[in-house]
Amino acid sequence: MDIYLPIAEMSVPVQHLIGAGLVVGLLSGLFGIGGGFLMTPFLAFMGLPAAVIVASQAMQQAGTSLSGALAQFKRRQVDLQMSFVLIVGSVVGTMAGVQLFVWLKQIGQINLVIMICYVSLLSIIGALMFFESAPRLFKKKTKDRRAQRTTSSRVAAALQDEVTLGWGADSVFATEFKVSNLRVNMFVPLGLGVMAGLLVSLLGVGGGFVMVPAMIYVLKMPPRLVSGTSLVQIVFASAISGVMHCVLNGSVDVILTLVMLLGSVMGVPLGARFSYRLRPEIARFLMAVLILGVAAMLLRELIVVPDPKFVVDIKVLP
Amino acid sequence: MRYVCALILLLVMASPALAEREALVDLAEDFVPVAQDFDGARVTVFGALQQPRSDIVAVFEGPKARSLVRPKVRQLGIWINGQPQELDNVISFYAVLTSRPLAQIGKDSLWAHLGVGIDRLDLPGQAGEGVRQDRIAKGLYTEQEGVITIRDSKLFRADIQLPPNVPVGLYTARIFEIQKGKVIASRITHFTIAQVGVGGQVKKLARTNPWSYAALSLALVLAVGSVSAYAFRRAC
Repeated sequence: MDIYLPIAEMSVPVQHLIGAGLVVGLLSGLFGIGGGFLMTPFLAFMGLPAAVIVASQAMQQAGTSLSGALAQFKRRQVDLQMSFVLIVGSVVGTMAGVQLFVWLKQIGQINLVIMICYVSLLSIIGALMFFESAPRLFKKKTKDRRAQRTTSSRVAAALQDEVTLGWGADSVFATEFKVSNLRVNMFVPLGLGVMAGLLVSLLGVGGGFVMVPAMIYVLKMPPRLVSGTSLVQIVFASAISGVMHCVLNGSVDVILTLVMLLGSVMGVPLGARFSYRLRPEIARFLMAVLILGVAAMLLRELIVVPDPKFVVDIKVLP
Repeated sequence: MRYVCALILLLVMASPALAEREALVDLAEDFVPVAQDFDGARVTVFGALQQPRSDIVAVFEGPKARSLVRPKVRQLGIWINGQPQELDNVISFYAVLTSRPLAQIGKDSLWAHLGVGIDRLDLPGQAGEGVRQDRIAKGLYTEQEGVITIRDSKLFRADIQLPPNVPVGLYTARIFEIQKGKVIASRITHFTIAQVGVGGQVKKLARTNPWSYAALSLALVLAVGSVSAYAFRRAC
């Protein structure tokens, strides 16, 4: 069955959209990082204009992440103070990102910039995951997963009383985050927020795959709080980004957004259920191979001699 | 059927003058709705010949458009978009339907005079060639020779299949009746392709009131997100 997308002005098979949303949701349930960065290439291969994909996806992220954020919030795994600082940063990033997007669209380079950003991001993330997971695949498991988890949580509990010192903990701008039990220069999370805002506005991805490692290794936040805190930030960043894309860019296709959203909210719980059955290193290895494959396909588009040798943009005069 | 009967009646009453006159044609539909399940549509043109054994050529043109063509240029090993060339008043959709191959119906000079044929569209330079190839590849510029059927040397019927990516707007259909290389009758008629239903409303709102569109979209998205968190909470 085909569905007509009013802003993209074309019809696409609805089962492909829901299927892709389902896969993306499944991946995010499975690996804990949103699969948004796989959705954009998939839709681009279907022939949808990149501007519509990114803008619609930015809007969709608000729904997907709200769903996840509410679940984390109930489990009290959110540092709201940190979320707030990140949100302030991402407001700046989002505004700048949408302006940059509109400008790139005007000069006709938006597709190219999106492609290059994706190739670089996917290659880096894919390679990191690959080299991290591949050796573990062939190693004997020394400890049971469950045992590992209890030890690490015991260590975390022991450290609970002591404040973790992040970057610039002794500077004038150092701020204490009570829930995370962390002291860090205010500008570090602000900067991360700006980056997350840029990512959602330019690429339509929540940016969890960049933010989660950054929050663990750069901010030194306790890992159990990272996912929820970042999700709360993504809800706001993507909501602002979606609205700005509607107003400045006019390429949010709400039908596309809703169909993708339906697929992904159904996929997340499925993925979460499966994740208990899959060894995490196998899961990460598979994900790495998938990401590298998509990166290679996108890179091919950039370097192989194009056919046709021009890009045609035709707009019916009102 | 009523139209066909009326046309036959007209045909019977029409006096056989030799000069070029109005062809006896009509469109089966003058409005093509693009709804949520739109996957293309068919527009039928039918009518009666003024003279037996003549040929019919039907030309369909979509709304005019502005086009930007950017040649791909290689820089640092990757292909990037070069300086854009602008073309105004490009025809967004073009289809020629005929009852026999064009070469058998008339000479090149006739087709040039009437502006019939993809190669004779006003698309100058490299940019024009870019537009032409792009439209052909997307099925939006077509020549379909010999698809118009003529029954009993009197009644003709032309079905044009509009692809799902057809541009919306006002369309023009030009119909020529040609005999011995000369146009003996012609007619220009119009039909409209427009988005209707939810899609039409969405597009209208997004254009006229982007803030409301943004608010509505965000509200829907957040509603689906929160409902799903509730619905699937056990699974997580």
